[in-house]
Amino acid sequence: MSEIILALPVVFPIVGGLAMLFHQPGEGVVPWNRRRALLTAGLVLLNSFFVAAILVGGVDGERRLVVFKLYSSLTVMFKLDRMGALFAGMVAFLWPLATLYAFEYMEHEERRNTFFAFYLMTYGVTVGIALAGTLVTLYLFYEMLTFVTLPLVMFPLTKEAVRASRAYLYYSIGGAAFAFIGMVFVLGFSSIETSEFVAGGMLDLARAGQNRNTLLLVYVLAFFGFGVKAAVFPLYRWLPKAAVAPTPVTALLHAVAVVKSGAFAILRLTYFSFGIGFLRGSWAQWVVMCATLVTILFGSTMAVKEVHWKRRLAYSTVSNLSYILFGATLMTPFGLAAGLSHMVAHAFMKISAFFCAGAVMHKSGKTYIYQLDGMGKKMPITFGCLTAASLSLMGIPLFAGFISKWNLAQAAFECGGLMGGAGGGDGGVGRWLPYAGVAVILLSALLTGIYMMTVLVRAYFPKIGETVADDKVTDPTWKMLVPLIVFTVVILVIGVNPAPLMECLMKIGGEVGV
Amino acid sequence: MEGNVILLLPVVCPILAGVLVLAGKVFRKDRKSLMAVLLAVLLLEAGLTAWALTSGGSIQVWRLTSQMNISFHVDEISRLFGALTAAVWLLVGIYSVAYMSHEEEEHRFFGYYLIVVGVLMGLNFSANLITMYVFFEMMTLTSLPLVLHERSRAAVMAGLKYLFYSVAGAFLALFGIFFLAGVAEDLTFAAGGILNDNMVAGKEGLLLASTFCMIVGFGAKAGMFPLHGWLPTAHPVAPACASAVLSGLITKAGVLAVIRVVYFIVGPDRLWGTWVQNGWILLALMTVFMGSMLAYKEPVLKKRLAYSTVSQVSYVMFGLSLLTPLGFVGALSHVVFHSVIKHTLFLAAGVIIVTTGWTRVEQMRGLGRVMPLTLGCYTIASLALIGIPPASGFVSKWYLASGALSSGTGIWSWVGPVVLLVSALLTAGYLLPLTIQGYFPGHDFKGEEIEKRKLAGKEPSLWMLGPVGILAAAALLFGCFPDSIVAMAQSIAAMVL
Repeated sequence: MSEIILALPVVFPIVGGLAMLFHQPGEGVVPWNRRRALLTAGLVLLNSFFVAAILVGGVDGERRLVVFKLYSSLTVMFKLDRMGALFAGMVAFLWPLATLYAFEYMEHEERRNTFFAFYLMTYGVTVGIALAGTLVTLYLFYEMLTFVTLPLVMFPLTKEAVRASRAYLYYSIGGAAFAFIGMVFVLGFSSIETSEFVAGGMLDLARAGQNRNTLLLVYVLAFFGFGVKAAVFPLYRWLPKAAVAPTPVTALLHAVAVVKSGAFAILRLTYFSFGIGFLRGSWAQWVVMCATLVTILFGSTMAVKEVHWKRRLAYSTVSNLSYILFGATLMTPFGLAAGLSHMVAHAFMKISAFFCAGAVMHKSGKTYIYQLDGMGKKMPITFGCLTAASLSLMGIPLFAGFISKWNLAQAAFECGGLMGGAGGGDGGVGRWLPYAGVAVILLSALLTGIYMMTVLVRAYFPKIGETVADDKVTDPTWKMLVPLIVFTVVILVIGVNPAPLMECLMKIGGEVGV
Repeated sequence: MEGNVILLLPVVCPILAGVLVLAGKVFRKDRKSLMAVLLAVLLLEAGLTAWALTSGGSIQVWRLTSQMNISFHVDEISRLFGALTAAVWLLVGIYSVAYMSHEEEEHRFFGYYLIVVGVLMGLNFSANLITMYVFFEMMTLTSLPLVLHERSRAAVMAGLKYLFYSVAGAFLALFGIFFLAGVAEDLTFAAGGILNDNMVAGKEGLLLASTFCMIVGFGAKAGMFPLHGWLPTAHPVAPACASAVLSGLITKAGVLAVIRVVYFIVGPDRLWGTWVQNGWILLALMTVFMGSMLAYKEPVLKKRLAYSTVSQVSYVMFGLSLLTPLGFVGALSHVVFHSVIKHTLFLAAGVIIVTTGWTRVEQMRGLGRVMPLTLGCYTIASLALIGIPPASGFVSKWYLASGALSSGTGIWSWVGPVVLLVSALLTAGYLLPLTIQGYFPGHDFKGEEIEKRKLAGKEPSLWMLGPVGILAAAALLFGCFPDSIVAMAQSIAAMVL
């Protein structure tokens, strides 16, 4: 059954954005007024409603829409399964709130029409990635994502921003090239005509077994290719550079949409294309797992050293994305569920942290850590939300971050137990690497504590003698506070009542193998 | 929520009161109402604790996942730690009424002071490993403002050091908790351990490593080597009443965690004779010796007492590491005695600093002329800590030494008592000079400063002297009449060993 409605939340915002770009009532820069703001808000909300409507209709993985077939196995299609529903639902929840925040943040900017047009288009493209039913579709929207977010990174049009966008472009295109190789091979060895994603993998195992090492190498290349957007070491460089973009961009795109798309693509690659039956225990698994562990430590360490607040949070993102990928590289159903739980938890924690940083920047212009003395008293609600986000990122219980870390550790111990019992795969590395992973995560949690708590201590307990200037700094208006408070509530709810989310995630895990 | 709701009261009431004190603008200006609320809540807390400890039972507060839930219960260990916490917190609270008038921003201090006692009660009542971990982290976070209260550069840096060491220790312990959660369905404390051989088959090495991680990790809070580095920095820089409870009670939270892990989850029989036990004994004895040596050489009084804490709490860790009933009794009784003694010492030090401004021991010659009563209380507590009968420290050290000699742990059974003896000598060396020079400053001592500043006979007010005196008396009397404490410790030892 072909379901046209699946294309709706993808196409609608893209068309809407294009319309905003090209509908020029007069000469020169399009003026921004209340009407346009309401129109944008309306389009975003409507699109979220479309996503919700689709999800309500059922997520069993049988609903598909073939958009077109190039020839034989090059099919562009949308398919709705549980994991796609999770990603799409998360994105649909966050986008309206982020847009609301952006209205206040960008209030003094020029060219807001261009900004919100591309912001809207990015929404559509991200949903496209969530609903992509084949690697070809995923690849297509992946490239589109780069191009549609490029103007947003470049938006301030300062030298730094242009340089950052250049780096972003080169890295992304480079990564896409390697991802392309992966796509070609998967299509070549797939067992289904349409090469659509199948829980547990779609490879023709007989043919694949004869070319095992080649395919494993291709997997590693594709992992790193998609891993560019997921900021895997050493391909993370563009992310801290991109911190110069306006905060709504860094927060939503570089903490949620773009980077989670990278992680999402890797999950599709591992669990729904190659399949863990093929990959588990191989040398490829250990290579990618090591890469994630190196990234986790690297990101956390760089964050401690960094004194520019948004760049610090960007490095934190680099580190946290590899938590998700570590869960993925465990290549067990529980590993997938654990990685997904961190995907959800981190999205809320990091967007909340970035929004706090943005609020402080917007109201006081301060961007460096050492400028934040005593801010806690001046912006109590903002820093209250930052406290919740920080404690959650550290992994303090009763917050969402503890639940995801708990899951990752349990999944790692389970994987280590499996590997140890089964003989350790190649060379016995599998016996201890998952446990090393837990140690790495805990060390990273300590480093997270250091780089988040030093900010909070400065803000709440300014040292006597430090100047605390700017008496007129206050909390931002409701447009920024409402998203912050909503995110904080979600972090607490997931932290205190994780069962509903975990039930959903374990179902996803249960589909992909044993 | 099912079970005995009374158990929630000593945990929740002080936390709510503390939050109110922090948020309520009236407390920033009106000192009298702040003090009234403080004392009322502390008295209430003592009453609620007594009620909860006698009514007993358990309660499941909240279910996080199928494996993780927040539950409280009252057992003998909870009674020991709970009674100690509530009583001492009240006494120190009375003391701080007068002491904190010399500090700024009191409302913040007292707000967190109230919150911390609630969190500590939660820790004492924890019925499973998860609840204990939750309250352990909460305790670190809520006691942080007490350490950096003065907001000087040194105080903030000390607070951050405290935070990072504590968090590092907690995460190290978390590794062990992750492992245990993977092998055991239910992490509720049971005397003697919850593991059976099926659960750990094939994973014995990992079990030992995890237990060691938990001992060292939770031991960070107890100031055990190698994660002790925060203690000598953090305790001196806090206001004296905070230093007292940090040294006297919050370090004991680390001890409680180790007791729960070793005796109520893993089980002493799994550790007997292993590298974990030997490593633990070694670390504890190293800390005992190192702490005493550093205290002996330290000129600043509060830092000297902080090093003393490092050393003394590892007496407790040593007793626990022996895994024998006598050692256990010595350890638990030393928990109580050291707590009482160290509170006396820190509160007395606070009195000295506040009255005279002197911070270094060498400045305190002739202190006997300024405040003989306070110095007398300090002396009684010192004698107790050194272990001179009939004061309390003698009882606990006797059990510790007997426990070591009869423990069957190879060389430790005699190395242990030797280290304890050397440490006792060093303790005399670092505590008594203050007394001797205070009462007998020597013929050449002219006491000009005392005359110029008119310090002679300037005892502190009853608000401060009272608690110091009561605690000093307790330090002495617990030694003369140790039966109640020892009997309690013995019954717990019988339960777990």
